[in-house]
Amino acid sequence: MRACLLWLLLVPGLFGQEPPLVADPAGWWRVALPLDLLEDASVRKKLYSGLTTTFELESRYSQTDDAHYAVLQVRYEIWEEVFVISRVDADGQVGRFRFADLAQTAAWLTEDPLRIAPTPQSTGRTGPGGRLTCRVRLIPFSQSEGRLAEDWFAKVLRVPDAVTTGQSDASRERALDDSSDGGGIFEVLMSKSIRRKSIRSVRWQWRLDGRP
Amino acid sequence: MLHRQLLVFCVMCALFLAAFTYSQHKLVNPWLKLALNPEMSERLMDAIDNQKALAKLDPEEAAHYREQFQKTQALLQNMEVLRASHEELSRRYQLIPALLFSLALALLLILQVRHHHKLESRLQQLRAHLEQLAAGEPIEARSERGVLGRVEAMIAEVGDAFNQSRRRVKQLENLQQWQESSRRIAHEIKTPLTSLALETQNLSQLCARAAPDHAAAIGAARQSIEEEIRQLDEFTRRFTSFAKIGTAQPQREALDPFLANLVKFYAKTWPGIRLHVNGATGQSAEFDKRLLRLVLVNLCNNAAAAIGAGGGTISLTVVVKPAQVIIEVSDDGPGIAASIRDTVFEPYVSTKDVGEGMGLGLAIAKKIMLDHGGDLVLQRSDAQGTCFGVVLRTTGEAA
Repeated sequence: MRACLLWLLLVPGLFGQEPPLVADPAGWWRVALPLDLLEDASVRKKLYSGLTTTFELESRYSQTDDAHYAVLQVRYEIWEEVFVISRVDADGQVGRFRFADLAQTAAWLTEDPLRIAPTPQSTGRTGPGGRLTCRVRLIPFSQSEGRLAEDWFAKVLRVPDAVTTGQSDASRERALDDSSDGGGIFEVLMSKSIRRKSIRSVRWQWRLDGRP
Repeated sequence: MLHRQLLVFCVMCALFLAAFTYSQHKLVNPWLKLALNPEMSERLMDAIDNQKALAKLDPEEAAHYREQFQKTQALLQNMEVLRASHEELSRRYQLIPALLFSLALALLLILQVRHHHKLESRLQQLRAHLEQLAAGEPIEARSERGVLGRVEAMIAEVGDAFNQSRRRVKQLENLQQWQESSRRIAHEIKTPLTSLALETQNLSQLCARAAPDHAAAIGAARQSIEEEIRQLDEFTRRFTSFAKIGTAQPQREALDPFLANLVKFYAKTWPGIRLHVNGATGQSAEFDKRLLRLVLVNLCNNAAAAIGAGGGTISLTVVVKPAQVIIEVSDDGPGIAASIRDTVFEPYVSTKDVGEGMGLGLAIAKKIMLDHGGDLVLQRSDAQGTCFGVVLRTTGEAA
């Protein structure tokens, strides 16, 4: 196995400098997510609430418009106290892993970095230098969690007297479940205000200099 | 002026919107902060930990604690998702009412602009009507709705009265000119006629003395000339009747006895004609009895002549109008020819054969009624008959 490491420091990112970009023999650039991204206070707080934190990596070469995507989803199972990781590499490989803690997760990420884009040689597009840019977006919850929250919020909006009547959880649940009303236009507008927006965004850039 | 009002309105709308948005912002954000207070998440997190701890301590109830745990976790997750979307939530909570308020203001603005345009158009219309009023042209009020509509109707009403009055004055002036002309012509004819009669008498006496043998022939010629002079004198006398109408001296009189007397005295005047009175009773008006009788008899005369020997009916119908009483004189004759309907009140316009009438009757009747401050109008004339309206005032002074 022949690997070549390229340490190219360009513009400092929000989380410090770019992580190392590694080319694997299969012809893919691989990058490990820095641990400080996972250990950020706001990220950790969301992570320990049981929400799925998604890292979306979008990579582009400066010469072409082709984009390559890799996704890493991290969810902490609070009851079982394990980290459940789902990853989809840019080459289409899918994997699901469980780790006992964040340190193991970070170690695994360092050992088996994400494939983010094919190397120029593997695509046959060799040229004089160029840059590879990777934008990492951190989304605090998954689509299904967003939908669940949306439904819950819609139900809450449909029972307006829940606060004033001081209904118990059980009775309120019943009221929510019995409510067949689809809600008014305002309730729909409000409940649809949940968007999967990235809460952090990092941009890494590597100068390739015709290698490897 | 209107544009300035509109500008003020727009500025007020903008201020209202700004105030509304500001207050909405100040009201919504505290509530959102309260609902998404991070301390609640921390407490929920503690509750989750507690459920876990309790499940470990009491394995028999672990399933129950697990269920509680899942519910609490779901709530915590939902709260976290909402917190992640709090900016969008806050934006929508502010945007939706602001949008609705803006829509309401825009609607109000559109209505205001429309109202202003309408008002401006109505004012222009009023100005045009005032110009028409000044020019004496007829005014047609389109609507009586609203204050401007009522003003427009009032202008139209004033215009009508003004035009009617002007028309009456003009007619009166025309008739007075005709009256004066008649008087002068009559005078011019009558003076030489008198001389002619005297000179004819003298001439016949001289001729009779000079030629006694021809006295009989001279006498016959004299008689013939004198007959012609008499006829000419009679014509002049009738001609001057227009100039001798006399001044109307109206007084408040009851109509019922007046009309009853008229019918009583003239019932047999026109053979085959049935004369009757109907309509409103108990009315009184300002009129000169002698002259009004003259008018009504003249109209009845004309009606009887139009009906002819076949017989028919002449009705005198009393109709009450605001400040007026109208005696409608109608017959069931063949009607007046369309060609002279417009000039029927002018002097020397007649439907009768030459030598049967001077065509002064209706002109005199019109003059009398105008002198009363009333009027005489042709209301209807067709194959079913003719109807004249004798308009009398119920109050006020003569024109």
